[in-house]
Amino acid sequence: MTIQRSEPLDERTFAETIAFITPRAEEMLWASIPWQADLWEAKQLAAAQNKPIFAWMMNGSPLSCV
Amino acid sequence: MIRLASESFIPLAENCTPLQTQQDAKGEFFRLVAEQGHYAGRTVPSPTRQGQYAFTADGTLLASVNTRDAETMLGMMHRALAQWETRAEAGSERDMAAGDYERDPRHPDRYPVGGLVLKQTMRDLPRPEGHPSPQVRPEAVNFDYVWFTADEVRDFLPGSMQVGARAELPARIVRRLARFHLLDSVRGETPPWRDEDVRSATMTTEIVAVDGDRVQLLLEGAVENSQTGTWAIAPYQERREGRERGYTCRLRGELTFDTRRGVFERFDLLAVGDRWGGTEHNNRQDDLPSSPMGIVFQLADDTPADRTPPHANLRDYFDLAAD
Repeated sequence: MTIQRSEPLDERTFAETIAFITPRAEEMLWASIPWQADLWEAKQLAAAQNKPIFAWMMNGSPLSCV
Repeated sequence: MIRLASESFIPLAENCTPLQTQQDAKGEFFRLVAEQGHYAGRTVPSPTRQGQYAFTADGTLLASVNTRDAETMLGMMHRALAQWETRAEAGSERDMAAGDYERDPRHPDRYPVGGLVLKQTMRDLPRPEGHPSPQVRPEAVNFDYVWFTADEVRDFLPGSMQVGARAELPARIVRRLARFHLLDSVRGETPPWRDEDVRSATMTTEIVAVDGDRVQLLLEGAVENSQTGTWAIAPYQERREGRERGYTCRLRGELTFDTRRGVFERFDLLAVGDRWGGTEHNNRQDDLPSSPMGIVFQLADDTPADRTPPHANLRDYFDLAAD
């Protein structure tokens, strides 16, 4: 259930609509990856942990609005 | 892929647009990697360097690709790890950590320490029967981050902490939310509204309960955004006059502020309304009629990923004067 145009935005429709918009766990598996959000910090971590970096670089952060 | 990215790599996701030109050690490091990769030297149809890269801390590329296909990406990751093992077996020097660097002054870190950071989630709402544009991508969901400085947090509060006290939120709060966040980016990014596209916008808070240090507030508001002009509604498509887009919505927020610590413990804000039209990258070219869309704003966590900046140009976002 989500709010209809004619309904008031009250406690009930507020909670139901937030629940509808909030992603379900299976939609957010990609977010379980411990993403770093700064290349320089990732470079330092990679050196300290002796691991390569896997970077997903887009024109706009992949973790927000692309 | 999730296990591989989490365990065998340091995973990173970042906006590469500033890094393509940023004049500091970080920008130079990105360009060192990217110019070994799939778009090295490319300027047409665009100079973008977006994609997926695997590389070492000293900037040696292991593999790269620009794909949305999971198998292709997984193949790139396996090739990179094979390269990494070769380097390790060959006794490559251990990569050295770099220290601080002097940032390009055009790109300062504006993360609002002590302020308010919200995570935004947007999704289409169910359409009524007989709607002229049936929903074909109900799974589409997108995100952004909202930043308010410590100074701006006070703007949400009435002058008095008594039940019934009200505050009309100032323009710097209302316009930031309206212009940069009440947008149709459900299927892909879209430009912010110009100031004149915000036809009307009001937001108020009212204290509805006080329990010791905790103050509960109800936020209510309404925003009408619309624009007419000349733009394309799909990538590389012709720009045409008479395009329209808009989002009109009503808002309700349920907030709890801790007066002792000076922080919000709860910040649940919902916008519901109708969006219409499309822009070059928001994938609405076949879905232009008005349809319902909802946006939720909630307190962000404190992980490295939750320090991702808002999608907007931060100079415009914080209404800062040009250099």
